[in-house]
Amino acid sequence: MLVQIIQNEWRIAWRERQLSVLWIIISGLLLFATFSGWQNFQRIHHERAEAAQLMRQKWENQGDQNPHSSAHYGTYVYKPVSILHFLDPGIDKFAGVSLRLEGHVQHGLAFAAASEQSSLSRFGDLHTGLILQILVPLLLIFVAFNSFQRERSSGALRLMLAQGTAPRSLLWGKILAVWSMALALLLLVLVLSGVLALSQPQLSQGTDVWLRLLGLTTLYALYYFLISAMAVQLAAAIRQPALSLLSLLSIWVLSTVILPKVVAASAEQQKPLLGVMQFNEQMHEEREKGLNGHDPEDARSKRFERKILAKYGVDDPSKLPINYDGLLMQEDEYYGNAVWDKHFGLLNRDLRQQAQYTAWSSFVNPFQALRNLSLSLANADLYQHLHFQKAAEMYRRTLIRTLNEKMAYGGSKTGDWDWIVPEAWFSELEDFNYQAPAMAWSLQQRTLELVAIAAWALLLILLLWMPWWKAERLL
Amino acid sequence: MIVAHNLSKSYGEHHALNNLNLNIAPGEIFCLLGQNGAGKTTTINCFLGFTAPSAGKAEINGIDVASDPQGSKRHLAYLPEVVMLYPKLSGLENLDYFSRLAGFRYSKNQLQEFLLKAGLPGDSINRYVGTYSKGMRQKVGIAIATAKQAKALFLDEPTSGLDLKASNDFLPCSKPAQEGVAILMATHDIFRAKDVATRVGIMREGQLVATHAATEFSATELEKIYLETV
Repeated sequence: MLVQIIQNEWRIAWRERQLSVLWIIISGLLLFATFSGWQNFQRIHHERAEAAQLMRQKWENQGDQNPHSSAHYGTYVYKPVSILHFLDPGIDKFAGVSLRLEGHVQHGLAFAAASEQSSLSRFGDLHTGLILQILVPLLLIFVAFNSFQRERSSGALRLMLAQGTAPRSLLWGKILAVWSMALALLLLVLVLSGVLALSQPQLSQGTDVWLRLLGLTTLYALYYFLISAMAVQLAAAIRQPALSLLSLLSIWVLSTVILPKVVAASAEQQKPLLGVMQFNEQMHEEREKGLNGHDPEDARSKRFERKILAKYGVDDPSKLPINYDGLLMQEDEYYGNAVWDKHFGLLNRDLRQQAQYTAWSSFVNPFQALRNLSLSLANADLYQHLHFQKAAEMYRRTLIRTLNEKMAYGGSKTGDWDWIVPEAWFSELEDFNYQAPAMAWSLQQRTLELVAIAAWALLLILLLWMPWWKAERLL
Repeated sequence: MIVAHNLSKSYGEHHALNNLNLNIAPGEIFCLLGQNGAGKTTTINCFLGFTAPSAGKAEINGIDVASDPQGSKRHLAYLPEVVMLYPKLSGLENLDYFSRLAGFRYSKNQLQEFLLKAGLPGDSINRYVGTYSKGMRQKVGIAIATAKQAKALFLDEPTSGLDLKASNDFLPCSKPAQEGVAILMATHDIFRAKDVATRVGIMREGQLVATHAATEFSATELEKIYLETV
């Protein structure tokens, strides 16, 4: 019986021109967005790869150089774009993609734009994720509404029930029919995405990309089940056509537009972020005056000098067998790292708390779970960004420490700022090679959303088993 | 076959159906007459399981509708007042779909035969139902009811809104009675009722106030009784 209902729903939807036209338009939009998203991804990928390569070339061709000059010369690292960027570009646009690495200073550009935004997750561009998240559910709502109202007003519903169709079977049939229409759209995207990803085998190596693509497909499929189950049950429960459509559309607007904005604004109110200027000022001040404000740089330097002189048993840095300047600079780095750890730690904590706040809202609004999980599976969310930022900072620390240690122990003496190291030595220093986290890591960060979306699915299935679904209620 | 024991349905203080007792045997056509709101459709709805009775019992082939609505539906067929069906499906596709829902799979030839027997012109069988007249849709409805091969048939104002020719064409729907089907028909059409019924019941304010054998009176006498009763 279910198969008959599903087949019939497809046949009717296809023959009713409005729905088939809408379906074709959305399919076209999806294909267009996926393809243009892919082109965009390729452009960004090449731009960043070229920029990274250029930076590396500049680094390797910096000439014979004093290590400290090289530390100031610095370099840039670029956040590699996830291959699934073409499906969901995530927060790249808002969080920045490049970091300048140099000695003495930690550039905190990553959240410069975001802290000035009212939300971390404002998306305006047309991309596949947006269509899948916003337009497809709207189509499903129309299909579900139309399906029930058409049969109710024509009397076909009475006839179906009189023919022996159980009310629950009817609901399941319609849910599965509406859902299968969404799955067909999803399949379209999956096939195109697979073909596109395979066209660039060097970018789609490894199982993680494919697992993520499979994860995204499963996520959207599950979400569409929620939408189908919710829309069909509401359309079945509310007899007045106008009220039924109004309720469905209200839920759609509330869940996709209003609630996410309210939650994001509320999360920011709960945990406001500092502006970039203020943040940098605080970092600078603490580096100069000390973490507690009572340990100025001069005093710290003097203490360190005494410690080193005592260690080597000399009374003046010029008598040290090593270059004291290198040690002092590294000591300052260590202090700067502690300041960074404190401030970025606090910033990360606040950002994570904001993210947790929105994650909890998934229990009220499954759309939030979808959006967060979609970003996460596309490797383009806040957590991944923080992961990159930490990796870049760790690389910077290693790089600067290597330069400082070369300065200290490489053979130069204190005050010998003209001492230089051959260019080849700089080329031997390892390049930044960022390894994006695996899918399991991404999902671990989104446990709340996973639980929420599963709870929603369970709830909607439970509602279907409620005894109130009788013929009397449907007619 | 179609039995009502003290069947009642109330909406607050209003008694839509009051203590209805009815027993329609196989091969019998029982026509329920009455004004709008007399309780005819409520009676049918109770038998179809579309309305839960407030008291009493509706049985089809010995199955209590309230306790086993799906089981009872296996033995009934229904023809509503307005058979709109799916306008974007042909008569044949509609019949095929509704038959499959009832658990019957017929060949294309068998489906055509049902439609032709119901009086649908052969050239319209594969046309969208949206292009049909009300009478033609009603005939598809008759074909659907016939194809279910049920032991009990419920007809709710089947000739309502049909012209004289279409109403006459409706006569095939009484044929199943010859094959032992019990038929309950709610109608305003006294003359049609007189033509097809075995017994006629007159309802007023939710109560069955009179029952007569259709052969007892002429159509004119029946009309007079009806007007006096309601």
